Amino acid sequence: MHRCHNPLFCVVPPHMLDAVARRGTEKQRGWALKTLATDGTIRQARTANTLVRGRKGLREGADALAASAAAAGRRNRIIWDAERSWEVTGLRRVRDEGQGPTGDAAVDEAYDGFGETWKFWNDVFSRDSIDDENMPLRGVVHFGEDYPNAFWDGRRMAFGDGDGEIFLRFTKSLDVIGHELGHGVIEDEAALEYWGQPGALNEHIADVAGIMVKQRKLGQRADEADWLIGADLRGDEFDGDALRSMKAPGTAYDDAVLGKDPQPAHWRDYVRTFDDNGGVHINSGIPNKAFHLLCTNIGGHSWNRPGRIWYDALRNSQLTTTATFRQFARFTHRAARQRYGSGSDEAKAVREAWADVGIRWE
Amino acid sequence: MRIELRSHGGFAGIRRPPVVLETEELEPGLARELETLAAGLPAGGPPGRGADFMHYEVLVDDASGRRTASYSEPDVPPAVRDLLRLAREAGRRP
Repeated sequence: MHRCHNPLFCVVPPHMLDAVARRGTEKQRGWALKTLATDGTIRQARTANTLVRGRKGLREGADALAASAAAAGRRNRIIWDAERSWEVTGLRRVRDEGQGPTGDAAVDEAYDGFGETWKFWNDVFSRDSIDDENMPLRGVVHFGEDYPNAFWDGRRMAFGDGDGEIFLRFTKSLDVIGHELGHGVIEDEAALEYWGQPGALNEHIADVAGIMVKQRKLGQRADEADWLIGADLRGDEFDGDALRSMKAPGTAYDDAVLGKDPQPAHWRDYVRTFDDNGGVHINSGIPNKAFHLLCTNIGGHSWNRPGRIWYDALRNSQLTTTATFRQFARFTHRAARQRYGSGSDEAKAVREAWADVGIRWE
Repeated sequence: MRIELRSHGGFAGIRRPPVVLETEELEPGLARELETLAAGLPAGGPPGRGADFMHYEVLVDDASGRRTASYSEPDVPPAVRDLLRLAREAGRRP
């Protein structure tokens, strides 16, 4: 529940307070920090703590805080080798931050992918790692035997090697690494339940994170990009372009073993199922298509205005863990209005993108 | 004994074709190993915190009837991992 103790400040959205607290004058920082500190939400308390800590770190004599501040803003990657076991702890630590390539492709791809992803969040959203508090990026590679998957377990990302026929190792696609790390950010900011619509939003935002990391690395504009997730991990026997297409959900593959890509691209085709946590990887096609439409309609780079709008919506303290598509859509529209103006092209484009996939809120 | 293994979820969100085995049709050593594992299936727990986990269902039919068990990563017991591996290998054999 959002509690506002100052009627003047409560009209200022959190992202603006955050910006003022980071870059404002001394006086502006004072009121922004005060407002953030008096807000009752965990998220904003954390934001306030981070900002206060960073500020204190600059003061003389505060050795511990100075050390903390010195650590902040630096990548901290650790990679372990599961050596085909099903364990994620008690493993051999094979590459730490600053160490050179090992020659093991999975180790080095995970390390480099984490680096690209950390840099993306830091450069674009001034976010310091998954939790915005310099959390180490922990990766486990060679997880399991021929394991055709990657996952986030709340503390680390684990990557399988694939079966070598349909799927290759899951570290091969930068968007997959960006996706997994995105789950960490989503859990930290909104803790969207992993079931049904909030679960599909969780998957959608992780795909958005992954695709933005990839497109930024490639320097691609929205109209130049392929919008494919997992294209690089296809084996010779995989019949299709990728695991998902954000541009054309439902068309990524049509495979003898895996069947046809089941993703819908419109609300009317929402899939009701008990599989896959209520279709979290299936129905994410609907918001994925909305994001693609927004990016191509606005033009330019996905991570600029569209990415900023989505990030603002994710960080909205009123976004609940059980959010529906429609509720999230409203928050993106609100974020666009707050950041770019009520009558802005961006706000109109957000409304149109959601309407085109059948999501309306008025 | 008939053993059916189903899996779904994961990053790809795919339900894979089930692996179905009749242990009477398998090499005796492998059949015994599979039957022992299937007879002592541990209980599955709820899904853990995280995302993109695989889910597995095991259906066992024998003279005593049908038993089913479901497992979600990351807490898949080692005996179930062994069963999944052996069944996959057996499923690949001609």
